[in-house]
Amino acid sequence: MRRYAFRYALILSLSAVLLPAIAQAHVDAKSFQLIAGIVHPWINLDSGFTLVALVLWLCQAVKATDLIPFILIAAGLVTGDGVGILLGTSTEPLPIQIVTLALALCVTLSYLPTRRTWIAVLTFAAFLSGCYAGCDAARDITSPTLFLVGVLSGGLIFPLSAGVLMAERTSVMLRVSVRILGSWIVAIDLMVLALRLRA
Amino acid sequence: MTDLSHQVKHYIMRGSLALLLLGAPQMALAHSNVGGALSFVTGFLHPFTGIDHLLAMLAVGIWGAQLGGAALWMLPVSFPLIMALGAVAGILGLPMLATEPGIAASVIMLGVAIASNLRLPVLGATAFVGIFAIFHGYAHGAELPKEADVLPYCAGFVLATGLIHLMGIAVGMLSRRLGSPLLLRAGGALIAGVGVLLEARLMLAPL
Repeated sequence: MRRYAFRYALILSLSAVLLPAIAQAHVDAKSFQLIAGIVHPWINLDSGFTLVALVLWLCQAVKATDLIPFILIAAGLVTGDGVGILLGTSTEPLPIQIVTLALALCVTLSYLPTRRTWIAVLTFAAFLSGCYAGCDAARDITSPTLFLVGVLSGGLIFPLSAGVLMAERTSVMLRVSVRILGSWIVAIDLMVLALRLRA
Repeated sequence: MTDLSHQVKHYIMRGSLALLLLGAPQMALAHSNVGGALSFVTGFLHPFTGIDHLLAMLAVGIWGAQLGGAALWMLPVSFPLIMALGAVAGILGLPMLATEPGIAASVIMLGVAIASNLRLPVLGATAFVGIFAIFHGYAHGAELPKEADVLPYCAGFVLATGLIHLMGIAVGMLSRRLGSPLLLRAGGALIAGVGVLLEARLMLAPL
């Protein structure tokens, strides 16, 4: 137990830092641009699910090169977010659902992509979905630089650390739990897509 | 024993962390009466409101634990996926025959599978459960309120469904650990009995 105490302490501290920020996000987002940026990728359930799917996917990584697709896709998401914030125009929420569905399917099937085309498609789709999330937040931003630094930390560094911490574990139960969670996200996204189609 | 309790402590800790993170978005919504919180709760409560759905999902978990091995995770992974496909059919209004009798039949068949300790290969068990998952998903999909905040509602709904599976697995694992398979089989018979009552009620309803 003691062996993992440091990791749990780290995750708990990160959560403790994030939770009050999340609670305050609606209240005073304009004053604390860095905090608003950290919280921004997690505040909406759709982009939150995308990041959860990315973390789960990273948990399945077995070697260092497995990190490459993850980093590219996460970078696409964050860059898209930045572009969206700068553009500030309205876009459709569909790309983010499709990206989440693709990522969660990879998690459920425990598939780590090796083909460059597949990685490129996912990265581009992540970029598009990032654009959507960014456009959505653009109207509340007073300091884009601070906000984007926050987005980079919240959308890339936090899930990367959490995923790497978890990926170190080889427990069968963990692998199974990751796939079960992935299947839940696929199910949620399928239903959301159908409901949006009906609407 | 020490290893097991050590592992259990780890899982409890991880579970608590996961719940903490899952609860985080709700904290953000707690400040204002923005839509989402209600929809999440509504979606979460939905699977608990019908005894037929509740028993079938519980039975899937119990049967998975009874079968053991890969079935332990294959069933809870495949059930929500296939159920979501059924829900898509329901949401889009595609035609489906005998949804309610199919759901009642699922309670009977899954109860019988547990009571008779039916041993199927993993793929066979997945297909068996998958057929019924379509009926459950279709019914849920058709019932989805149009005014619901879509994503929180679906998140709550799938989360609750998954938790019921996990409850079933916990019951099955506990029974195995206590060395009381007969008790579990009796539980399966009880589930099948309730299924028969549900089916009978459906057949007598038009009369």
